[in-house]
Amino acid sequence: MTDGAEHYEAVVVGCGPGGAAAAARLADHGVETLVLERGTEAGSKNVSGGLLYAEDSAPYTLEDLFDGVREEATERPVTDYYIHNVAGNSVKTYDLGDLHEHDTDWCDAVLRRQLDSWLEKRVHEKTSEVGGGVLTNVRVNGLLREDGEIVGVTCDELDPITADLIVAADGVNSELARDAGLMDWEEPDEWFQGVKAVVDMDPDAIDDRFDIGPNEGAAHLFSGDLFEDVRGGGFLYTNEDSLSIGTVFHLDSLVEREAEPHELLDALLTHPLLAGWFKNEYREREYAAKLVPDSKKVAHREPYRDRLVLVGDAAGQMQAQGPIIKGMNHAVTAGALAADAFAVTRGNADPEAAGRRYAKLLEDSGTMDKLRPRRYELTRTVGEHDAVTNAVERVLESRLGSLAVGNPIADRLLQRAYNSPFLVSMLPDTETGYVSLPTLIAEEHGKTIYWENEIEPPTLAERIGDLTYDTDVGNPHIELRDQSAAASGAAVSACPVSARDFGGGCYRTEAVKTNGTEETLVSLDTQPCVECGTCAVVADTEWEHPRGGKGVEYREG
Amino acid sequence: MRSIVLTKGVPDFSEGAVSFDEDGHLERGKTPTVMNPNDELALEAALQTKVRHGGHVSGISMGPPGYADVLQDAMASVYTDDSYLLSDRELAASDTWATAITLSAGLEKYDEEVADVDIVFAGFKTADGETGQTGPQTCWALDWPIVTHVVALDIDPEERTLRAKRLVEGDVDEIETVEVPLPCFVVTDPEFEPTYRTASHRLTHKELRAETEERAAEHDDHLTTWDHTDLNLDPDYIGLDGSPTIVSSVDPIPKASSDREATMLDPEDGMGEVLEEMQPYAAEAGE
Amino acid sequence: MTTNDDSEPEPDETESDDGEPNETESDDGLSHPTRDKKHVRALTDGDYADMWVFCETQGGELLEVSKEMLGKARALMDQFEEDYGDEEDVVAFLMGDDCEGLAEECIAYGADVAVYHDDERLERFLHKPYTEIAAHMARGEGTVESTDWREYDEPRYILFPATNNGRDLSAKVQAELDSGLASDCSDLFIEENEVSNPVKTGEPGVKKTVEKVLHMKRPDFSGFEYSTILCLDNPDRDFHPQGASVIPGSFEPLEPDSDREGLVVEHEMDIPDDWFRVEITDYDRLEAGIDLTGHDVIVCLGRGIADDPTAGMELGLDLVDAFEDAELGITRGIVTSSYQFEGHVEAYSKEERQIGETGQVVAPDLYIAAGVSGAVQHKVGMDESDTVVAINTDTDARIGDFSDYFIEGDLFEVLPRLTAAVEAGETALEPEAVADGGDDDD
Repeated sequence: MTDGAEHYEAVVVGCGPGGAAAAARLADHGVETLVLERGTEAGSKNVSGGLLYAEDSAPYTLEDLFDGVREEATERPVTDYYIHNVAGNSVKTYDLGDLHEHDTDWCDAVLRRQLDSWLEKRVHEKTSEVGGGVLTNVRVNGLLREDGEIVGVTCDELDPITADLIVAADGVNSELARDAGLMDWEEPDEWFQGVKAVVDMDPDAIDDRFDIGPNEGAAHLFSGDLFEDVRGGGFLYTNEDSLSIGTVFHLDSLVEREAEPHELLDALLTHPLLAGWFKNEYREREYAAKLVPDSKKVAHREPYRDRLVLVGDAAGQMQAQGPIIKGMNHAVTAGALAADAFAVTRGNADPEAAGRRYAKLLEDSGTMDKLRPRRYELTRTVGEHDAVTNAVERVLESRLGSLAVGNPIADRLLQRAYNSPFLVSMLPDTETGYVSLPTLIAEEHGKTIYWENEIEPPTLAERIGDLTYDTDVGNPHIELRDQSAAASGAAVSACPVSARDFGGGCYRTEAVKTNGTEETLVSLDTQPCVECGTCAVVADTEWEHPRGGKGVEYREG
Repeated sequence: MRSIVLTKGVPDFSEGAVSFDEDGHLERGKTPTVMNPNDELALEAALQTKVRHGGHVSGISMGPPGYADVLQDAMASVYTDDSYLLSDRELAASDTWATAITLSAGLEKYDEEVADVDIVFAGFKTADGETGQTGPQTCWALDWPIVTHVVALDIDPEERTLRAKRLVEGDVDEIETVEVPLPCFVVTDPEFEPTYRTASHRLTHKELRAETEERAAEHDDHLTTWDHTDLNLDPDYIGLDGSPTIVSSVDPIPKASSDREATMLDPEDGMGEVLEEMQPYAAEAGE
Repeated sequence: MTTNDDSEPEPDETESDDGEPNETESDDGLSHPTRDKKHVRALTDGDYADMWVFCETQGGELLEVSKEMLGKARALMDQFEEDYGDEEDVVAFLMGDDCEGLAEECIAYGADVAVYHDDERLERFLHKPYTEIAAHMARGEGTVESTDWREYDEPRYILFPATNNGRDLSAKVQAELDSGLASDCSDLFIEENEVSNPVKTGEPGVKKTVEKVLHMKRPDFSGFEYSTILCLDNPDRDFHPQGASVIPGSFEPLEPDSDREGLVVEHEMDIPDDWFRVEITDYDRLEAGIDLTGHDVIVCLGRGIADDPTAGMELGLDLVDAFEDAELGITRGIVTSSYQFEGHVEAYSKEERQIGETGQVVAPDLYIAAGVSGAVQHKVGMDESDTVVAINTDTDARIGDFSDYFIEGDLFEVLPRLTAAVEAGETALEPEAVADGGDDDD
């Protein structure tokens, strides 16, 4: 029933960069806009690797919409960019400056609690001038329909609300996108999983150890043999007074290798290469995890239904440009374009007018082609085919291959290749690109690192213990539909806050005896959940976000 | 709606803030004073009324001049519009009876001279005295209808009635729904939760916050202090003189020590000690 | 809400700061209206006797705490007679829509007199009529037939249950009777008291011994201190009855004795409709839930039962049954496990029995943790227990850090032996299965 329901012209769900951009732009157009954020403050539910780009070619950047955001809410700009190819203690480093600067107006490291909470205040100022505002601690749990058509949202904390435009900017695990049937959680190969540690470091120490000025920042990527052959890599970004260090892996690869994400992160943290930066001091502020959509495969080309439009992660808009991942900038663009689309179609009787217009704007602005390049869809079938991969692997392993990669000319060519936006986007998502090639490069060209890295990262129990939770006691937000190891066992290792032989995480297996036969079953405790969504993909669950304000609260993000 | 909230300053009993002397007695001088935690719920109830129906909320406290800070805190954190402090040396050492007489005199003066009051809100039990009596006794002095242990409430401004759900303790706990005509006196239960089910109420709530934070910064401009002559209260009936009860002694409650040293026992022969600990709690042998 | 222990920390300031007149009353410019207020009904040199007990009811039955107070009142007044040679009564008073039978029950539980008032409008507690009727009863107002059993102005002592309604009533009745009370008491005794407080003695520096003072002990300061509260007359204003509200569970009820003799009195008065401005439109019982607090012993099971969860649960329950007042708790690990419990024990595996940070926090005299590893979250839920006994095969388990005794062994072996020993009242265990055929075989 929608009679008597509260009505706003636009409801924006989620106050991350995508939702904030949409709301700010809607307010600019004079649209009465209500923003609903499930965190206790915007940013408390958000994690990103940490680089926010502003592209020359993009129709909107965050700074266009929020004056002063760089001065007040972001960390250091990235002025140095490197990739390290690692094989054991041998490391070959390439400067990625050219790739990084391609089409880049500016790029800042960010911590999401700081950034998003700042945005929330600005959005509230803007939207309250047009009769709306931002409400936190409100979880939108589904779509309100009338005669089968989407007309609004339902919430845990509020009575149903109708709206002429509903912007789902509710993140990678968007419940609205799933309610609308636009996104799913089916295939592990459509997702990456990132884990990150925010590590305390004095600003002067950062300047000194990374050889940068106070208003400069460094970005470092890591690939090679330090991750147990799991497809993915690591990153390190400098913030004002901390480092964001993390790893991102293909979820299917994590599952296949039964790898423990926190151990892969530790492998990076304890690599000798990082010893020079840590100087044997390590204080971890926060451990975090997030699912990342692989936009090449899942970015929705028509991210709308009825009055609903999807923005940012909710629509799979996360571009992996080879080693460089761009997500927030596209969410900002998409949010602003959705708002513009609504502004020009306002009053149109067709409920899908705004959505259609929004999809067209995504195409016309070139945004969709960055997210989901057509050429990728052509090469994908070949690039990821096992036979092809194996053939390439064999060549690399052969003396001829080693010779080719290992000669001095190859060294220069390789650096150029890494810096080509076209080439890196074509790099197949196989072990070759992530592991074999970098390992070979390091073996052939690398210098041996002799530093000793003696830091001890916290245990998983300690990491969970250091996180802030407001547990919704008696009201678990995830339910395990199938307890069998076959259906849900993958979560035990893939979940970033679970591990085999660790009883204090979300997932664990236990041998259960019934009627004389022993069976291995999976059990779930949602208390330590960081709401990343991994188990929604790799296990058989009924997955929802916790109620508003409940669950994990990130301080850094 | 015109609401008044009764509030009191209490020692901050939270860990790290509270200080005890060697004998285990509270050191008031070293322990900061904060708003009584249960009073926050009374303020929340008043705020809910204001958000839903508009109006004005005043905070009233009885205590030394320093309690102005508590009223300021009430203004900043739960959005009162103005503050009244009943403060006078004659009021020192009041027990609940004398406190109730004083507060009711303040409420009557407010009702006569400032504005007609619709609802008086009070919290359950203070964190120090923990009597739970002052609300009911103050209301008794006013002879208004009272609803206590309120966990949820709703007001019909046209009918001028207040409907509340209240918690009744017994061998089995119960929830009662009661209807009361305004003006009335409401004592919130520690389980009270304000409910805001519409976005517009929540936005109003947020707006009030911004507004009152500014006001609280200039709290002195919004504070009225009344002494016993303002209240026309006879010193014989207030403060220590007007208090039936006195505290004859105070003993610290010993705290269980959390520093334990486990005695390792072998089940094969060494459980005698444990069994001795258990035996006093054994069920009487069945027939 | 203030008690007199709040006297603010400036007792040494004797000068008033603003030239305000001090305590000489003649020139303070007041019209002295307070004593004339209808609510100040001070008595001086009144006659007081008996201990009155308000017996709260629910659903047509006496609350447990009502019976507990009658038992305590009986003991106090028996002692009173021994100490002072005066026989004074325990008077139960109650009201409702059909109380005569309950009044008789009050006699069986230790009262000498039970005064009740019936009115269909009094089925459930309401502040105004309950207060007015209680005060009317206490003052001995009403028909001759209902008051001729007594010859005093007001009760000497009066007890109420410290329930939500009982506490409210205690506050309002004592205000109506112009007296004071201590609420939420956990201990009561009657003895003399040497008073030096000038407000109570009438002159500074003089000590006065007051007889028959009800000493009311209560936890306050958020559980950090015990205060003993006294309700004492001023020289020119009596503060009687001395009142207390009593925490449920503080005292033991007597075994009911239906042969006990006592006087049951029906109280009569007119009750105007105007007292029913508060209307109860509905009420529901709350789910009782499982309350693990307040028991002598808690037996808590952890994931050590994994080898045979159902059998483990049964063994835990057996030990619980061996104690007089014990309950079974479980760790979060059990709640979230995928153990397949058989039907008869499955109900014990639910969140409502969980002990720990997100479950219940308990502080029993004896806490027995069997197969509990001892996560920090668990510690939060039991660390205030007096004695902690851990049973675990793993001597490195963290539970050892906050246990008093650590029995190194498998709970499947240890629990049955503890149960047998507790049931048998033994403090030493039989050596394991001594072979038959010893010399001494009875």
